Amino acid sequence: MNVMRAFTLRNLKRNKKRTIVTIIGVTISVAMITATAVLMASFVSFFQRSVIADTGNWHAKLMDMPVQGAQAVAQDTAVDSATISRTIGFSAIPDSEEYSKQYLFLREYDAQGFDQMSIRLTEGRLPEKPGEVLISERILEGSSLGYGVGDTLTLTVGDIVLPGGIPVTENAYITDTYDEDGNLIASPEFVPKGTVTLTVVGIMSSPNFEGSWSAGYGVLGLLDTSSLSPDSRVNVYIAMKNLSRRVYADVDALVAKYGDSRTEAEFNDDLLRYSGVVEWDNVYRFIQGFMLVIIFIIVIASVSLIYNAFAMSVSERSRQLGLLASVGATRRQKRASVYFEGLFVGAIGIPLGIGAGIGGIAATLAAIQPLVESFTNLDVDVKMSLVVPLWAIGVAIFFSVLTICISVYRPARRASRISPMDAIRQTHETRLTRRAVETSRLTRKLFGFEAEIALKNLKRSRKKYRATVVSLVISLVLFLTVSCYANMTGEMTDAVMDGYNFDIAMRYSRLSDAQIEQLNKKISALEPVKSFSYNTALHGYAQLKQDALSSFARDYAAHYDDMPEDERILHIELVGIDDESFAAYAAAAGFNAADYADAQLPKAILINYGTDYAQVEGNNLKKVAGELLNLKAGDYLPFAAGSRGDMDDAVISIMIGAATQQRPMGVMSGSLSTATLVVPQSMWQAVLSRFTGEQLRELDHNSYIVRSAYMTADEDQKLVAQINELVQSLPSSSYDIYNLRDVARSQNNVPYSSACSYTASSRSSASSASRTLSTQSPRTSA
Amino acid sequence: MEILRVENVSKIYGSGEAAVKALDNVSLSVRKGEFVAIVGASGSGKSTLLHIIGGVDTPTSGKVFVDDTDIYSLDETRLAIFRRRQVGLIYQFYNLIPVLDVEENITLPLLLDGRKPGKAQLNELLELLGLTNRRRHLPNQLSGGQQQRVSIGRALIANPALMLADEPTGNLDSKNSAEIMALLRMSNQKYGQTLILITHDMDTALQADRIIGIEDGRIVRDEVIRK
Repeated sequence: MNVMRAFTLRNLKRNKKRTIVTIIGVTISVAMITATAVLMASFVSFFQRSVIADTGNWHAKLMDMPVQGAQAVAQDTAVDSATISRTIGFSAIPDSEEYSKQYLFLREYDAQGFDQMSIRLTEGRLPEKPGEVLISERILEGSSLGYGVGDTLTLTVGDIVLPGGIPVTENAYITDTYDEDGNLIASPEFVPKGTVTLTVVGIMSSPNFEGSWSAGYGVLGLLDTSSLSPDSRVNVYIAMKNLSRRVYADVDALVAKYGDSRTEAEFNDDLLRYSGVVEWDNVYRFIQGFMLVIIFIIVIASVSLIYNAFAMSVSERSRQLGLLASVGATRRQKRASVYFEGLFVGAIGIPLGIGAGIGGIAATLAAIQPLVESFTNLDVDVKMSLVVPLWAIGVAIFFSVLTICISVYRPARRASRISPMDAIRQTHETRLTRRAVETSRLTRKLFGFEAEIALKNLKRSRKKYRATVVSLVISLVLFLTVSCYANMTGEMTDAVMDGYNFDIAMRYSRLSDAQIEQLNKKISALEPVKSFSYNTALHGYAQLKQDALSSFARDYAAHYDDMPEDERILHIELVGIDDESFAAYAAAAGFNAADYADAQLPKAILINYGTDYAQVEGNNLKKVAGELLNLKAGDYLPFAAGSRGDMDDAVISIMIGAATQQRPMGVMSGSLSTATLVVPQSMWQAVLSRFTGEQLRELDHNSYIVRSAYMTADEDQKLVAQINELVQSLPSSSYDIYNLRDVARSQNNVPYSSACSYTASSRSSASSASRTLSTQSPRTSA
Repeated sequence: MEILRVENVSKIYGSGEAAVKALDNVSLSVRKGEFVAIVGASGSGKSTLLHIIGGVDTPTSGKVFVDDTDIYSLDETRLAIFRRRQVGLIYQFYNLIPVLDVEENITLPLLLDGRKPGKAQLNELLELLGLTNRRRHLPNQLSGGQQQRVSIGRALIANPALMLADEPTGNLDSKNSAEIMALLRMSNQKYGQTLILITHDMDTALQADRIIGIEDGRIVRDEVIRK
């Protein structure tokens, strides 16, 4: 063995402790880098699988292909797998219960499609011959058709033609057309074209061609491509073999080769995005950038530690290196010795670190699995599992080697410069200069003689002193970076939680007061409920003069207001909270609840506080908060229900009993364009009894009257489950459950939530959550 | 034949008022196979002269020719190679590499040069040094005399043009000192090694062919006492 290597190894062995510590340091650093890369890979793979579960495993959809071309595409070498699909048409459901779904939508896939398009069978079997179909489980849940496995259906199939003669080719949202006054102008027309007889052989969960808004329930049959006439037109879903940024050109080439003038390509953008082939895509770039930033921080932190280890090792060996130099070791040989040390440490530390990193992430993923499940709103079973692609290992090795190289570079250079004389003289102590080192007398007075010696030492060996300062600064910077990041994620949660003083909200619609009362009783009695409040809200508007606004509101609200000075339109929310909660709220805020009980003279508590994001220098938004109105107790705040121009005659005049910044549960801190008035529920009812029945119906119908229950709970998920059980018998359109903590949790995970909004946006709970949110601040202007 | 020529070498440590002249315009010439003793008091500059001749310290001015090569015109790497091929250095405190064993320490100049020592040559040398049974020992397992013999072995192994010894017996008792001097004399006589030896002990110096006296960085005496 090369004598320099033997020399290095034996020194490493001689300083076992330091060597082991160095190896551990490298291991930890590599483990962190690996963990970051593997975690990103796992997330990306999870997103991909989520999209595949949601949309099917295809990159592009070739629409309106001649059937021969479609068959040829499936055989093309560039195509990994292809599903040929054909739409049969719609079949009307007489008296359908679900407003948006008045039809069955019939589609066929070839045998490949049931797997590739992520069709999930919940009952029965897959179709084996034409004429056999799967039906969507929504048909069982949402309609009264009463179909089941084994049934034979005879259906009149046809096209839906929109006003203007445009046929509907996809299972889209179809609506009637109204004029400005709300009069029906036109409806889509159903044009029958024939009768089919189908046998139901299985139930599938909602397929990708059936959205919650789309016009038809999904019915999926088996397509026998050989029986199609040559002039039939089909759609082909293809997954490419080699996915790269060239996918768009590749698919266009396929269209040109196999399609005709009517053929068009559509891409599965979500899947392409998470496959990283969409150029300049923000989501993927964010994830990637995020990973690199984290790795960069890890590298810096690791270098400052590992560098020290090597520097120490070199300075311990400096005498030996000097001796080697005196018997003829060249600079290169001395430098190589240190690099060899790095190689040795890396050869042990990198594999260990990669193993530890992968193991660590495996354990972490196993541990956070329930959490991941809780904030996925997917109704499909996609697990976030460990994925270790080669590139992640490559990234880990690259950055680990880089870390070690950076750490070794300077010590190696120093080692190469050690001269024989350094060893012979052995002068590594502080070299004293003749210059007197001055220290202030204050030091001596304050800290004593010891401090003076210390200070003189520092001053004499500024280099060492600088190293200490630099490493202090680095650790400080790292600490700040990490805490800033933690803070940022914390703030994201805050941004969700900010202004909300409840955990779970439940909005009722189309339920009678008696039904609501009964439900409230049951829900408030549930064990996880800590506090409960039932709020009714009437939304309206007030037209105010500029001077009715506080100077603060005038300053900031002005940014958004183009209206003339004497026409400040303020959104008004009149909230009735149940009498019990009101009493507690008034007491907590320091008011007498009895003052607000006189139906002849309605009085309300004004929540005179609003927050907003105001534009400050340039384009930066700054959060501001302050008083909203220039009104005080005794002033009147007249307002009209509904939105402007809608029901200007439904005017209510309410006296302000008191103004406060405290909010009862369920009342969110408003923006500067909203004023909230709080009254007991009995008073709220009394105020509303002034409206005519027709007015009330109109307000209710347009969501100007909102009825919601708010509660706090420790075990939010348990509570949601229990509530879901309670409301099982009610139609799903009559309530929305909104778990704020869920949202906060998912917000905490930035890359995750962005993906979640893709995969789940069309689906159940996430959209209902956003609906609930939006109704809390409905139309401010007409 | 001249093997070493020192031309007007000066060495100044520090600068300005604090400057110290360790060597002041020293010139000398040594023939091949000569045994030269340099004597002088502590701080006279004799060690500095030796280091400059050995290529481990650099002169402030002047030139050093070894075998007609101006060694300070060489770049760093060539100088290092010069050291391992042409110079054998022996120090008062042996300066062995503590993690390498006797054999490795002795063969170090060859190993650094990427050469393999001849087995017979090595065995003969170990025999000569009385270290045959110690070849696998580490320096800290040896006595001072043995360690110094290892460093003599290291200086001899590459068959260098110059062997330089800086107070080689300064740290040894009289018995060991006699043995070391015998070895050095033998290497000079038997192998014809050119030997330059620093000492402040006149008895040791008198074993040489020629004595050079240094005082305050200047040669004050240079006489051949034996031919």
